[in-house]
Amino acid sequence: MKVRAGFVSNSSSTSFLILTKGELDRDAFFDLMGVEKCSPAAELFGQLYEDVRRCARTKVDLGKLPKDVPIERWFDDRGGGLSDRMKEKLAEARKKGLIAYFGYLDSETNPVQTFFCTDSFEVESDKVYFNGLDCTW
Amino acid sequence: MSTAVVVPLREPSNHESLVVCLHRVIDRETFLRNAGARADTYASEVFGNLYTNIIVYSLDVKADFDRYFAIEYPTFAEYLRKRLLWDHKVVDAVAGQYKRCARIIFYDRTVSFMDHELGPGLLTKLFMERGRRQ
Repeated sequence: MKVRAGFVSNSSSTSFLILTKGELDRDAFFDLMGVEKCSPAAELFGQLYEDVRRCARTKVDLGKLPKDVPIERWFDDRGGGLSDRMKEKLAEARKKGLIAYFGYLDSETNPVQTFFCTDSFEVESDKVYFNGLDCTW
Repeated sequence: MSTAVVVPLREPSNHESLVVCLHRVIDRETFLRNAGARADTYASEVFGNLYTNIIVYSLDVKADFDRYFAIEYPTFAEYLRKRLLWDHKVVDAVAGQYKRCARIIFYDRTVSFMDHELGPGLLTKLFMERGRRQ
């Protein structure tokens, strides 16, 4: 048995799903979040935008998938990364031919990503849906 | 002219806390407008919670001193140094704000995005009075 005397930290990652009509762009993302592009908060949400673009491991054009293949097969889901709510929204999005971005935010990458990784949220506009509900903290 | 001075306080636990010196206290609506967060959005939830954490849940060390500890410590600086154990550099910066401030708030356990260089500058902008945003 090993005994550690000292500070022990915990790190985590949480999955996210974004559904969009066409490519995800910065303007639509800021509109979804409800933040003005030239505001003090823009740096915070701009960092989140860059992080989700970089961390989206899987991008799927749902409109081009073969109809007879289960949707989960197209996602790198670590054996269960897609929640029931995500599967439900993916099924709806498939009918509309949307694009899906799926990935993980990590608590150790930068302070901004740490915040959103440890928060739980679901937001939707007429152009974009963002599921960040799967927070395990 | 800014209405807020934000002083980082590095604690032994390696956790960043902030001392928020407010010359005047703005309301939540002004705070959200300064943030650029539209009503009823995720951004307004994030910054609304930030406002609550600072204004409602955090300790106002000026009021704490005035109400309870002025009889025990002859100066605000001694209260900060001996009761709260803040280092001299922080005490000098904060005690110098005492007369100008309506509230001096110890914002402990900040949200992580306040925990780096973005934090103090962002809070200073968010606590500006209406019409003073730069």
